[in-house]
Amino acid sequence: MRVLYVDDEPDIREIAEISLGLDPQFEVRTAPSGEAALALVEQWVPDVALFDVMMPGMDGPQLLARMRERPALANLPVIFVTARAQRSELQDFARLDSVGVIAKPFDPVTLAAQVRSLAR
Amino acid sequence: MFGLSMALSSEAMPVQTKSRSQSAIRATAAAFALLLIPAIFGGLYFLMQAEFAQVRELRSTTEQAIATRDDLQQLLIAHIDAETAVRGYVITQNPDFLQPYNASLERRERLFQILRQRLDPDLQPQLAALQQVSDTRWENLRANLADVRAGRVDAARRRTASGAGKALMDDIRDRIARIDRTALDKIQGLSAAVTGSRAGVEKAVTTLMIGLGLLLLVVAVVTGRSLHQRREALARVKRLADRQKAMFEGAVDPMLLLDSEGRILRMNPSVSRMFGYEEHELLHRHNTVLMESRFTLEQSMAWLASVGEAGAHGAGRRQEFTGRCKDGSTFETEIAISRFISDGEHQYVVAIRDITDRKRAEKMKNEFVSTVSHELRTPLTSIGGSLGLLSAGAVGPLNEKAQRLVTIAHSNCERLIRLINDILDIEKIESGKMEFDHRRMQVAPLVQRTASAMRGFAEQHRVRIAVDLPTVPESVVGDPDRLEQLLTNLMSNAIKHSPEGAQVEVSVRRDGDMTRIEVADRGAGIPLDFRKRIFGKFAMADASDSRAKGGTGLGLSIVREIAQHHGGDVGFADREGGGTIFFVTIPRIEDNLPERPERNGKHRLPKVLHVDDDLDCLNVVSSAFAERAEIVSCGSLDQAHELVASQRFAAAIIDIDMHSEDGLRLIPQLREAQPNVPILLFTALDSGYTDTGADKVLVKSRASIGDLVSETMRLIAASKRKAA
Repeated sequence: MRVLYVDDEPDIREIAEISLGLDPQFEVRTAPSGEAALALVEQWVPDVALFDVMMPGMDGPQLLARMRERPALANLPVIFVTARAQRSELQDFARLDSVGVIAKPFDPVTLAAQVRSLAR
Repeated sequence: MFGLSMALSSEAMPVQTKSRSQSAIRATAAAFALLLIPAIFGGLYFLMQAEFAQVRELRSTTEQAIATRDDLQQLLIAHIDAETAVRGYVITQNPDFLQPYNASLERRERLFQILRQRLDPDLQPQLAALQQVSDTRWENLRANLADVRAGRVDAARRRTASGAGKALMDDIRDRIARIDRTALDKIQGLSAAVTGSRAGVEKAVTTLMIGLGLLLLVVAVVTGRSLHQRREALARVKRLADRQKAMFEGAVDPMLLLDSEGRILRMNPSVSRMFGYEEHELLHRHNTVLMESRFTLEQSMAWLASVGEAGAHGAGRRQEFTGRCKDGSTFETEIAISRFISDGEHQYVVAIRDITDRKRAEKMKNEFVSTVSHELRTPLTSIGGSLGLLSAGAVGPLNEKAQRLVTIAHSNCERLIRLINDILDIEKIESGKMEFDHRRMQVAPLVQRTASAMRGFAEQHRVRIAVDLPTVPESVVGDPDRLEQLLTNLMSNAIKHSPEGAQVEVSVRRDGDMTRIEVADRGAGIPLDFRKRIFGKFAMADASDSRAKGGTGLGLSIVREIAQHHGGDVGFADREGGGTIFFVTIPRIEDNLPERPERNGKHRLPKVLHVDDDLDCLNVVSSAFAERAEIVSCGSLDQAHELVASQRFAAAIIDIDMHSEDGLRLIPQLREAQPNVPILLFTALDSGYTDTGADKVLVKSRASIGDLVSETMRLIAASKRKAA
């Protein structure tokens, strides 16, 4: 299962990569920005993607909209990851055609399981 | 203004009670005087009448006595005249001398007759004796006359000279004088008696007059004092009114006095300063002129009607409005409004405060809090993630000391995260920004879910969790996430404060109109000095407690806020045999609805249009349908027409007669756009809506929200079947 994690924070990218890697069936790739993610999915199509919401330049929702423009990614399950765990915002993200939201700080040990259950 | 009315009542009250007892005394005195004064006048009248009667009697008696004396004198003169006449005739034999004799004879008869009638009975014997002597005398005279006529002049002269006639005359004079004296004595006696009784009357009259004078004096004093008190009371009222006026006029915040319909009766100068209107431009206009239009006149009046009276409990209301100045500029205000009764009519006193600065500060604070939460969580994600992975052995085993240190770092990192979350929660709740997603829900699954989530934490503390649920399901309207947060806080407190090996008992039961959830522990109990502030922020029994138990001191404060947002409350009690029971009460509802399907992201909920001008009704219906239908709430017909033109609905719920707008006008448009859409009228008006074109009419007073939900879902299912 191919998992893409997009976050501008290098430390969190690294931790997320390790955490998701705890699931032996996950093949994890990360990208530091929306642009980098769009470039990556040209050659590597993920089965599920996690986007940080607040990123400089292109933010998570904008990245999602751009990905939906591509036929290959039209049905890609997307999970938002956010440190701004305001309820109203969580609901807004849920409406944006995502399968779920994970609040930061996430539990590294159960992150993979959470992603599995949301993407199913 | 609350303060003002309190000041008024606190000063006025003792005066009232005091004057009440005094006025009772005054009333009694007045009644007494009212009874006494006519009595005195009656007595006076009676005495005067008696006195007048006596005077009248005295006068008539006196007149009579004088007449009697006169008659007696006349009688004497008649005798003297007769004697003189007879003597002249005897000497001269001239019959002319006899003329007075004849007249006297006649007079004597008449006078005796009068005297017999007039004289008192006790004088009658004397009168009779007098008449006898008089008769004898007259016999004597007649004998002389007879002798002269018969030519025996000498015999007559001898008889006359004998002195017998003179002796009789003297006797007659003497008797008349005696009778006269007796009559005179009687007058004098009567006069003396009258004089005596008059003295008595005078004394009585004087006494009564003095009494009357005293009474009048008392009345004057009492009235004077009452007038004085009234003057004082008036002065006090005036002072209060002046003070009140000064407070009203001098208040820095604009203040308005509104009539029962919201028109401006009075305003203070600050209103002009803030809004730019002159007083004459605003008086008698509706207060909505000062607001950025948000409400119709009807809504504004309905809102006014819901404002409580000012009082000890401060039942008035605070509300934020956007104010509008004369020049059209707007600014944020907060108004404090309360109702009072003046001249039998409701009036409202409104204080307006410019909260532009506060709003700006709030916005800055919110942005700050939001930024801080993000900026803190981002590094914490890295720290917590790293420590979590290390501690879980994700990157290989650590030696014992390293494992211990990583565990300490990890648990403190988690505590820091909890603290941030709690602070943000409290901040959100207090600023009214915490969103509650109320829905109909059962309590038992919530308790079970929370209990099983807490089991791991309980095992760490070597504490067991026992759950006791009622056989009949208990349902409430609530936010499942927030109630779980509440229960988690209570259970984690109970677990942390339990001794090893103890049991935390969670139970649910019905308590009148409330559902009561209890969490009981066997901890050390709550110190007495901590009980009052236990629900306060950063409240912990002692400073070392937080380190020992890893709490933030915000948990119970959040619990209380959440419970109160659900219309319930939280409390605690000592537990028999040691420990504490914390309980939460939440208003329960009758659950007559089937369980709803769990939320499923892929499953589309039917979209239902709900048109109602009552915001509360919109909210209630929306939460009642949660998870079963997506409610599109709409507060006006115009908006509803737009929605119907632009969207498709599975059903529509319409309130008829949204004040002036008749909801029925929407039905033809709906039918034209979507011929098969089920339409339900949900209305407060209970008057035969038979031919409306709606599929179902439910009257608000008779049908519950549950009925509305099940009927709507039934109609949606029926229309789907029909379409298929």
